[in-house]
Amino acid sequence: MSILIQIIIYGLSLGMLYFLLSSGFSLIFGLMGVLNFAHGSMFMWGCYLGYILSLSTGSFLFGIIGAAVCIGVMGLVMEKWLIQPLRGNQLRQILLTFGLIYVLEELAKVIFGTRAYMQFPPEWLSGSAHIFSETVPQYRLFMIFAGVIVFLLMTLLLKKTKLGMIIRAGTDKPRMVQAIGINVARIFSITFALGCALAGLGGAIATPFLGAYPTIDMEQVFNAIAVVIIGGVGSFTGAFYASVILGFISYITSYFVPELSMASTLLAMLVVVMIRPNGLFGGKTSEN
Amino acid sequence: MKTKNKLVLALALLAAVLVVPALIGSSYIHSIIITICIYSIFAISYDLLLGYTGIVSFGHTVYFGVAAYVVAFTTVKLHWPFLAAVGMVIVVCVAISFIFSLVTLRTKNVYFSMVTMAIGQLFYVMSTKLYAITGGDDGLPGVKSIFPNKTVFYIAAVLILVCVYLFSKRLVNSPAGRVLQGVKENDARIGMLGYNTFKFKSIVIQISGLLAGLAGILYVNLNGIATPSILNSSMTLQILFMVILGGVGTLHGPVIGAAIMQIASIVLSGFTTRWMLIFGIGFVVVMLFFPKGVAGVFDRFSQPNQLRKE
Repeated sequence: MSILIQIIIYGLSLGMLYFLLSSGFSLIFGLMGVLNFAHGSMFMWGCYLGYILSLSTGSFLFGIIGAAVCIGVMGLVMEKWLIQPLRGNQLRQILLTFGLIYVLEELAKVIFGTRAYMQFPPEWLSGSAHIFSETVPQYRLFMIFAGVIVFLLMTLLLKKTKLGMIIRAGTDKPRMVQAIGINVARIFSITFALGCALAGLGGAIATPFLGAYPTIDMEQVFNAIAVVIIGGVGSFTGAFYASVILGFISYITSYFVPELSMASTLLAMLVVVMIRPNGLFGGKTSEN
Repeated sequence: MKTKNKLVLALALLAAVLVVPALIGSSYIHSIIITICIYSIFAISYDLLLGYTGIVSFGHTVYFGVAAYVVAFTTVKLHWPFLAAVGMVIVVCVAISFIFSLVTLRTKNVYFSMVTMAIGQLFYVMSTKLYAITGGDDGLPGVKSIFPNKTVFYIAAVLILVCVYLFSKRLVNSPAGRVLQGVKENDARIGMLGYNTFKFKSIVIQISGLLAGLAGILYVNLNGIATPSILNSSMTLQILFMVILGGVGTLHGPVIGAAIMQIASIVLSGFTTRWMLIFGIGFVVVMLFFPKGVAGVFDRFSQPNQLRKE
């Protein structure tokens, strides 16, 4: 019984982390067709900025929100100067974002050094909670809470607002949206910034759990890729379910076979590619 | 007449490259040029996929790295003779590339890129975790070079590069090579014409995997050690940069790119430990403004009257 609760809480919190990481990746890819390999780097910068902002202001909440805003602005700049000029040329966009991984990683090493930063959760989250006689860290519960809140807010945004409607329409029929006179370039900028902000938020929330260190970008971008492949492109709820599934797979393997923990998400992804190339939860076809 | 001039020029260049440094060069300079040859072979093999077939694989270092590891493991741990190790590399590279193509060719375009990148990372993770086979982060040291000295190695490396270049040139100009270039332009149409595009793509992945494996064999001979860093995705970036800097879709481009990259990395690493930053920025600038690379700029000046095929 106790191990079951442990697996549920730990797996779910890991899944929420993957969701925060990959929801923006999936959103950008679904709408714009831009495969932003530098998404993990955005996450890493979110880790660093969250750490520094919450340390300098003394407020953890300010740290995570500040990190999200900063990375959002970073995404806006990146979209404007690097992604937009190459619009329509998917290959060059992919290669460019692949190169950006190294620019952002080396830049982080220059500024923050190569050491790992450890951050303690704020006092009001550092205790432990009791669920059915099982003791779990409060921070894990906070991660689940944050993931669910972001999921609900994003679902509201996508289903109930005009922007969300345009994003959903643009994901399905981009040409049609342009044809009825919507400024697609502006929507792309907003979506890209939003996706990056989500990565920054995820990074800042992950720091007390994972720490901030230079290779975290590569480790995490593969989780984002795995989520998108398993969840299906352009499917926001698909990304949510896929994240939860991967969270459980990842936690269960790291519990029983620690050596495989880093490879488990990649293996799960390859299995899905073999069985259902379009992902488990529909979405667009892989022809796109 | 023109082709004859070209041939004479190429032969003279080859003779100069072979003779001059062999007479006066130090062992250090030989090592640099051997490294350039190795990366040129690797980059040519990558360009067969990227430039000629339109396959954007981010997992190409797998063959290079696995070949190096296979040689290191079989010769150091199992004490096999070198030729047996080479045979093993061929078997392993063909097997891996066949499985690789089975898995990855189920997906297209962007998906393909993601899956290949994930497979590359899988091999990297395995190389750091499977301590019994790969030696973990420390790698597998102690590989003895089959070449008696650097000068012989140098001459062999240049000759192997020339062979690989000529083989690739023959390949891309053969009927099969034309089909591959057709696949790059319009996959579906080639399929409609009755060609089994899966088979062609699978074969080119295997050929390119073998060539990358050849580069890996030479690499481990030069450096004497196989480490996880050769399976890292930063290796993919470097090889990608060589091909793109030199010029995608040409066979001399990757060689130019490899030479520029290698010399630049030696010069830059003298100034700063963060030379990958400069590479990265350079890569982004090239991607934004010069997608055809150095060879593209060169072609533009050398053939001003020809209509360039896009």
